[in-house]
Amino acid sequence: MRFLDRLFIISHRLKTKQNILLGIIMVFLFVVLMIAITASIEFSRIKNRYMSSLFTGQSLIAYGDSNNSFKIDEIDHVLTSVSDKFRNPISADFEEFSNNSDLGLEVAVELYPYLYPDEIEISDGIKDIKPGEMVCPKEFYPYSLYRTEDGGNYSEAVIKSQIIDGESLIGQEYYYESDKEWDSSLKDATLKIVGTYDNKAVNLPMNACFINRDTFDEIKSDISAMVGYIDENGEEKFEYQYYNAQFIIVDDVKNRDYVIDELANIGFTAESTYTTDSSQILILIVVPLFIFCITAIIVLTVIYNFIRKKITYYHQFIGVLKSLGYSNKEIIRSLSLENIVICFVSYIITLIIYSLVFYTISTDLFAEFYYSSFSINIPYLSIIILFVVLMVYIVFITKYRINRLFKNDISVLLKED
Amino acid sequence: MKLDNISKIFNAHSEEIKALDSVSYEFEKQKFYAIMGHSGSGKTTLINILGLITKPTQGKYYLNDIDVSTLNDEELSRLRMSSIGFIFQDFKLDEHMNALDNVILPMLINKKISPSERVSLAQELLKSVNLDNRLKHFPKELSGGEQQRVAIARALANNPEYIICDEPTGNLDEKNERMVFELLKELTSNGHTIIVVSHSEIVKEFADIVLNLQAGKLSDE
Ligand SMILES: Nc1ncnc2c1ncn2[C@@H]1O[C@H](COP(=O)(O)OP(=O)(O)OP(=O)(O)O)[C@@H](O)[C@H]1O
Ligand SMILES: [Mg+2]
Repeated sequence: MRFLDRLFIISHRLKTKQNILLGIIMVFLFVVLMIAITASIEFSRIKNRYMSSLFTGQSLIAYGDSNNSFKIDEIDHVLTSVSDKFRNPISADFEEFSNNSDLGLEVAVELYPYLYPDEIEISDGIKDIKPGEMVCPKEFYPYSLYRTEDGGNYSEAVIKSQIIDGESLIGQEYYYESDKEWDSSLKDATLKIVGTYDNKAVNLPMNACFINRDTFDEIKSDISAMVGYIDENGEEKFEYQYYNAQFIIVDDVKNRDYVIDELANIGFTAESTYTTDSSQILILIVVPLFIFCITAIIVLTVIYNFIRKKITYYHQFIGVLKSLGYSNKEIIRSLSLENIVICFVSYIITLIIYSLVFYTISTDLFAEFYYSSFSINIPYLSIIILFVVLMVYIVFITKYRINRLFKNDISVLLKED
Repeated sequence: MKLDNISKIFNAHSEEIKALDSVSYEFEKQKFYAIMGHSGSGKTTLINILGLITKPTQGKYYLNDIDVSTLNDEELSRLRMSSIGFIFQDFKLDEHMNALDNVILPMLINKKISPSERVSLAQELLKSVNLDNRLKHFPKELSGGEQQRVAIARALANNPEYIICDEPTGNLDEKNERMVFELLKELTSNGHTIIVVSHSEIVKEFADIVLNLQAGKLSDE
């Protein structure tokens, strides 16, 4: 029997209420399934990167006698050891980017110190960042994640049209004015973009630029905080607090414990910087995986029951086909095709809905992820595998249910319910 | 068509029902047979065996000198397609297809009919049962008599030797009943053999041979 003839047989039934309902149920379940699978796959991918990334798994904060800090550099596997003043970036509101105030954007460029060679891969083969130079992301978004809306509320968003091609800014200069009210010893700096880097490769936000370590030292204060207190005479007094911990970067996560032990030997207590976040991310993986498993079980049973009911409902049609001379094989092939077509159409609709949902989620709901360059990708391979598995399953259960019907005498199939 | 010592026993609710009891009979070609008998006498069972829809419990059934018990599903289906046309009391048309498509349905598995011929052939068949103005109508848009004529056209689609009818006029009034029997009668002159189960006395006016079934036993009248 030709394929077109099979289509002829099933085409009359595709638009029945039962088949449309089956299609709608499939679309709904497939969408949930695909979102869950995307979430669990992507979050686990992000977790792996997060754990090994430079600024999380590889970095330590150590407390101890600062007179001994020179000894830290001698420990194996330590890439660099600096004051924890270098741990957090400086926020710069370069006026040059401030012509977009009507969008509610707030200019904010994060300036990171370039601490050791190969910390980032800079374009044009630049190996070192000299004083007064700056390296910014290829996809540069010199704004805060937060934008002011009309009512004065804040929302999280990345306005894609405002992402700048970093290469186009090479040669431009930006003036950084430091807060001399806070610390009168601070200097200003003129920063010139000399190259770009891929911020996604090192998981830095889209507004993170690197500057020379000495320039960084000059424009960021050693004062970490000013604390107010009441002295014994009842007078209000202020006291400066200075950065007093060491910020240490280890060459590999697996050497971290070794370095912590060595630090203890020279009187430093060290801890990893971002340990708590990984458990949150674990929840982000486990929850979608759980949803995926539950949905998968529901999908398989609902589809099975639906097809079982449908095939039973078709017994008279099958009996008529048998009485007309259709063989078991031809009936199985034709009716499987019906379910394959429904599944296929549902899958196409699912892909459309999924893309819309994905686009909304990745740009709006997950703006923070996007901003932090943890962008979520579509797991194409898994989606294709999912499709193949569902198709095979549907063909299999259709065949199974029809074969069970064939155990009956044709005269029984022909009878009314 | 030859029945050799055919019996059919049903087991239902731990009770044995002998629907057919050692039936032997040879049907001649191009004749109009009427099978009559009381309700429950085994008429449907007999005709289903003839139409390859039910397998007998005992005995042999030869169709065109082939012992059908030796055939597998594939071969049985092909034989059913090429040699047998079924007509039911409740028509059993496909409610989702219009009259034309219902008649085309059996042609799809017949390699002797090319796809391009199907529509004109089905139109011809529907014309021969006076339905050329109802081609696009769905079963629920047709009267009972019209539906049964579509079913006759469908049974003739692959030009089978035998037309087997189980109470084809059971749901029709007398006028339609005569029309159906007349159409069937005409077919014998085109080389078809007609076997009709009926309660109606009218069938006797058309039948060449009337057979009687009584408690599973077949006899000439
Ligand atoms: N599938 C079955 N299971 C059990 N018993 C059956 C089955 N089919 C038929 N019978 C029994 O076999 C006997 C013959 O049934 P059959 O349908 O052949 O009668 P019939 O002559 O066609 O009757 P009617 O004129 O009412 O249609 C009946 O007693 C019936 O109860
Ligand atoms: Mg009967």
